[in-house]
Amino acid sequence: MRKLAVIIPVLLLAGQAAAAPGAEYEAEKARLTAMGPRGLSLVKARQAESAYSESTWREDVRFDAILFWMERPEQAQRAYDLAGLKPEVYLKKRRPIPEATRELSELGVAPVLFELLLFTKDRYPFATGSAEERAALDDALVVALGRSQHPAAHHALLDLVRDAEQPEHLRSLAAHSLGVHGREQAESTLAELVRDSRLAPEIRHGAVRGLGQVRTARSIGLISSVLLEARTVEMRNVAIRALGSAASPTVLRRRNAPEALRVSASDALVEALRRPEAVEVGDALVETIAVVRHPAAMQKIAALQETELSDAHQDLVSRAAHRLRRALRR
Amino acid sequence: MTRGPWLIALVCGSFACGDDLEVTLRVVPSTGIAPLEARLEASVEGAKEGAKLRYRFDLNGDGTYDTEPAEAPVAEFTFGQGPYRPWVEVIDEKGDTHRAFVDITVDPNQPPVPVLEVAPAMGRQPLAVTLDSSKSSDPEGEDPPLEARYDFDADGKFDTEWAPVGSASHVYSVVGAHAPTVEVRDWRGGVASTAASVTVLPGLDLDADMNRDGRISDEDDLNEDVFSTTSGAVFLANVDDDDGDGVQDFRDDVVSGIEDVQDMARLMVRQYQDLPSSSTVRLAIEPAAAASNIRIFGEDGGGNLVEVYAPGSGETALDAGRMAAGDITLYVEGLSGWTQDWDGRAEITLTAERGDDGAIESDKVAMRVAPVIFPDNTRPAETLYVMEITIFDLGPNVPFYRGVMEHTPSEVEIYTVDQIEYLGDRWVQDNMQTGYQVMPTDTGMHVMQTYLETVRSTGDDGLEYLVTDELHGQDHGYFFTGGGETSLNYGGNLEITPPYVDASGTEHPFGRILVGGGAGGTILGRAYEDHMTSRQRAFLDAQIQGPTLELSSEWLLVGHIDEIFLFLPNPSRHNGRDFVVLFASPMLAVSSLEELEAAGLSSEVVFPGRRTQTTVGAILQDDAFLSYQEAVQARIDSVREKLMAEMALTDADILEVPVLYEAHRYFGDDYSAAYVPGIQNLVVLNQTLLVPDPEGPTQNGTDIWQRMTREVLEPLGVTVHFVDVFDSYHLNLGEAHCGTGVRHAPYDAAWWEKE
Repeated sequence: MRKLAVIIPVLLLAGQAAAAPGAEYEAEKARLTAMGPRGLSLVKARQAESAYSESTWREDVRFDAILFWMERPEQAQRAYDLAGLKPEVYLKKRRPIPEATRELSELGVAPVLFELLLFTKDRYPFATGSAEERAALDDALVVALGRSQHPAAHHALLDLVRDAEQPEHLRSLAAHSLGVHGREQAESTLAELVRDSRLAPEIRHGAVRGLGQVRTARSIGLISSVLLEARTVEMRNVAIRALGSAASPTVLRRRNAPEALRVSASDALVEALRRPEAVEVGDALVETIAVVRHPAAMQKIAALQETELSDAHQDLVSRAAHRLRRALRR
Repeated sequence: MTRGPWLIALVCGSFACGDDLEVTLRVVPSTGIAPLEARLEASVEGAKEGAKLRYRFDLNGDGTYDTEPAEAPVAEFTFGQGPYRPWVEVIDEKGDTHRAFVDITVDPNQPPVPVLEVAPAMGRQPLAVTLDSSKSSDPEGEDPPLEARYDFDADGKFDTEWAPVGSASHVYSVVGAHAPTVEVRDWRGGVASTAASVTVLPGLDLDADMNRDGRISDEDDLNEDVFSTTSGAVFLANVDDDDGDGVQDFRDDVVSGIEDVQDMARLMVRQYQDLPSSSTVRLAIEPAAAASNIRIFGEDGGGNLVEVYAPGSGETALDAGRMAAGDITLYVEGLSGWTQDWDGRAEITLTAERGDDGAIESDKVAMRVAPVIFPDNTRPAETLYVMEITIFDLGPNVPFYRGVMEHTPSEVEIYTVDQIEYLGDRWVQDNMQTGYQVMPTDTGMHVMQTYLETVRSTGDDGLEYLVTDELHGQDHGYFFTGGGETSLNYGGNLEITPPYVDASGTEHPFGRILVGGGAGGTILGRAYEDHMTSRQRAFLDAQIQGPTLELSSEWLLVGHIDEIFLFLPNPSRHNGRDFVVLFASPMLAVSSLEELEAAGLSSEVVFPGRRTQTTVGAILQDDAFLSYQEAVQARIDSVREKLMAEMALTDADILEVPVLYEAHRYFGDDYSAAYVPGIQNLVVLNQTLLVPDPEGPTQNGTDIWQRMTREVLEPLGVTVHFVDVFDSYHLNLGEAHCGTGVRHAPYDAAWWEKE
């Protein structure tokens, strides 16, 4: 069986060496489908060998997608018929812009996401093919991959993050989605991305947001470091919001996560509040301290109020104390 | 008062005196001016020690005893003017009687001596005269001071109330002799009156309805050069379309019928009989902003109203000959309301340089154009604007429209917007904010419904033409400050607070305009800033309900504050206010789902039967979604805190309903939109609320979000009706409030009486 992984491509792609990847894929899918039950068996056998490793995932997902088409063609087709990308639908909306992230995520067609991403996106049957429609499909694919449980999603998203040909906002969203996907390797990968100074700030912002979805001690420590070391207001803002997400009391409670996670995030936020540059990110700090709402922060902020601060800083600390008090009462 | 010496009059007459008693009667005071309050005191000599004597008095000496026999030897009496001989009779223990009398003469009260000085006693119309009675005197020189009241026009009816003597003012506009009268009285009731003479010569007189009683009369000459809370004439921006030509009436220089005249304020140039026809008469308008935003019409002599002042020039000439012949009525219209460049004030000055002696006279009136006032949700609802969509391709809203028709109170008119004309563009709220202008007239308040056109651009086919092409008409006008380049310009992003007193004690009798916008970035921390356009914001800032207060909404997909809160009427006044604020609360929704989960109901369906249906468990398993709810709650709480601080609200003024939010992605940006039909985005029709049906999970057969909503709202004394918004509005990023517009009744308070 191990040989199948090699045999099928060689068999099917003979004579088509010069074809585009999408065309190759379509031809392969067509031929396997035409083979009927034998094709199905072949693909299933090939899928059984899929490791979804960094080196094999691209090949692996081809067969996932083909198999999905073979078994659930109507469901697969729905990925090519997204209502949110149709002008007759999105033009009725109050913001008449195409958008399909939730729709695609909830279709449950993870293999087809890879098909689109790797092979067929350029042939998506857009109504107008406008830049907005194409961007909406990209956003939807990335978000849906992040929300999928597919074992190759991590690699696909990381590839997107690393792909300099992609727009920065999409690479940033891919980094965020890595965290949402939340596989084990996400934490290390995102940590590397956050520290990679060659990456554009927007992409690193996405990585910090992604870390905010991981919710481990290490990820919270990393975000805290980013917050306290960041040189730009925007990065501090992103880190603050990410801490709020990472230390979400509701999520941590539901996961039975250790109390230390929330304490750690709360301490980092109060430390950020203590620093003079806090006034530059005041609203984010006030809101996120209220989100994390750890009771111990109350005493620490009260102590801050006793220290010598500028008027603006003092006002900010008072606001934070007020909001935290009210959040704790809620 | 001077008290006289004791006057002891005697004595025992020849009547039944006892053998050894000597009775004496005295009166204190013994002299004075009527009415004189005096005390009669009897004394007896020769009585045995301890003898029990009784006294009775004939107080006015008319031969009849006025008191019953008593042991007290005193009595009190008020004497009128004249001579009196009061008597006392003393009855001893044997029953014998002994008498005495005293003589007293009470002087008459001399009436005050009134003096009325007028200055000036002669002058040209309108003549402001000071009438002074302070030199009036009381011959007796008594305290307290004299009082006076005036009859300015000698018609026998006093025009002022009694007040200490002093000065009063009156403006005489009618040419001729006048005889103002003053009546003066002292404290004893003595009254006297006198008159003075005022001669009004023909002169320059420009009048407007300064006292806002809807008429122009002599009373309007008072304080006519100042616009204040108590004086100043009002006019309207003539933004309606009385002739149905599709053009706002102020945009042309013709009068479009009597209805158009009724939209204008009158100015009266009084007849100036002896004004030589060679005189030069000019009407000037200041400041420059007013000169550019006012047009004046007048009769052309043939019964037609023509433009006599064109906007911009600052002044115009009037015909002296016509002024000499009779009154001239002018009609003023505004080309604009209050703006950032003009507070609506205008000074209109009439100046005449006489053709004979070159003398220059002038008269000025102060006016102000009305602001646009947008009534809040707690005002009575008059008209509900909603589209009925039945055509499949347009995305029908039949269930919603049916719910609206079924539950709208009978006192509210339903205005159904045509689906074909506007190609199913259902977002009525986005395209207009209903308001009004008002001015006093002789038939009452003249209200011009005045919309703010808040365009949601759709190209050529949407509701951006509803106001301009359909609602615009007689007494329905509009302002438009610019295009809809941002959704934050739309009407849903503009809410009005009910009247309130802010934390600093400042009253906001017409409430305050709230708009959404800010620079707080998205919920996930992406830097983002968006605001209502500066033109529209500046226009709103300039109104009497301004300056606007901006609340964070930039993080929302459509960017409207009605996506998170709304003001509701509160008949219960449980919090001492006529209103409450209803906020969406994502964490309230999460808590409710967790309660279902704890009750073993994780598999309960949310949005049952809808394309997006899910389950309680699925929602609660989505960590990113849950943490997002907490972040949204914190942002909503920031808005709530700011609103509470501004309006001095307490938690008792705030109610919450469960609404979850989700992030939508556009080019990497994340924007929030209601995941659940936004319950707070409801329609207020007096005490009836049309509430988006949240279509939540059920427990014991009841939608828990509906139940929670009822539990919060019904104690207010309002009626809750859920309406189906899911496919027709919610999935298109709006709810019930977004899809409707409501015209509410004007406020009872007059804007011109407020600072």
